[in-house]
Amino acid sequence: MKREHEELKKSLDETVTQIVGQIWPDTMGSLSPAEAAVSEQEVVLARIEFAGSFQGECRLAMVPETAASMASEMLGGPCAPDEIQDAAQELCNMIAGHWKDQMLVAPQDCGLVPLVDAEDVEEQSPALATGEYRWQHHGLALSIRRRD
Amino acid sequence: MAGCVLLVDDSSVMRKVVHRTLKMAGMEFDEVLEAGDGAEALQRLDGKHVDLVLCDINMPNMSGLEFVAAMRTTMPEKKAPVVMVTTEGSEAQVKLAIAAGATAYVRKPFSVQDFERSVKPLVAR
Repeated sequence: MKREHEELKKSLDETVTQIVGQIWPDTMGSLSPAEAAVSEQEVVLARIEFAGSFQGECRLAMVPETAASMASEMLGGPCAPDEIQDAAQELCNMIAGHWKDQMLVAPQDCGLVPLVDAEDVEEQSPALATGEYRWQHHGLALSIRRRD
Repeated sequence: MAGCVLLVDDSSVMRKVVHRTLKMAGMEFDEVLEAGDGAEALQRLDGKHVDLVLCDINMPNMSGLEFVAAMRTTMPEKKAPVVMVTTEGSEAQVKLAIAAGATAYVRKPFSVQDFERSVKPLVAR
């Protein structure tokens, strides 16, 4: 079980490094796991459900400044306030999609279902894998949960 | 590059990102149509000539796979290449998309080079 947990965590770390690094090349080499990279007080949240052979969710939290900078990186310039949440959701989807393809034996049997209301999250089960990452003055947190 | 492109994604940010990447890869279109899901995309296609469709898979109402299958069966006169642009990239998922009628597959996050390699040859035909 411990080994499985370590593999899930390693996979999450690799996925986040790869995806964030592709979107935001300046992070390459400087993104690292960190404790308490995201304060619980004010965050931009995004989540997506896994449905099918694996049931659960991927949840992303970013400090607002990181979320705004991420959206600007994606768009190649300034972004409107409503685009920040949209970009965060897309980042969450990408990480979930890549993690699923890497970890599940038959990823095609598990779909991704977008959830609109990211604030309404019931944390019923302990996370399979969590990670907090920091680079420059930015931070984001990820968690993958299985729904029982 | 003349012509018309249809961008289908429930994320307006991703539609902008795809449009920007097309331009950076040297593909500028006279007309850019946008749709937020597969059903809206079918409406946009009605009576319109498009040269290229770029389409997400996971969307509300009608998915990208449902859209491309519907387009190929109900609008056989539409010969435009359809490129699936999606977060999921397993071999089985790619096969499903091709079987539904997609022409090519690009995984998010994508680069300008990905578009030059996988999309540009389709519109340069």
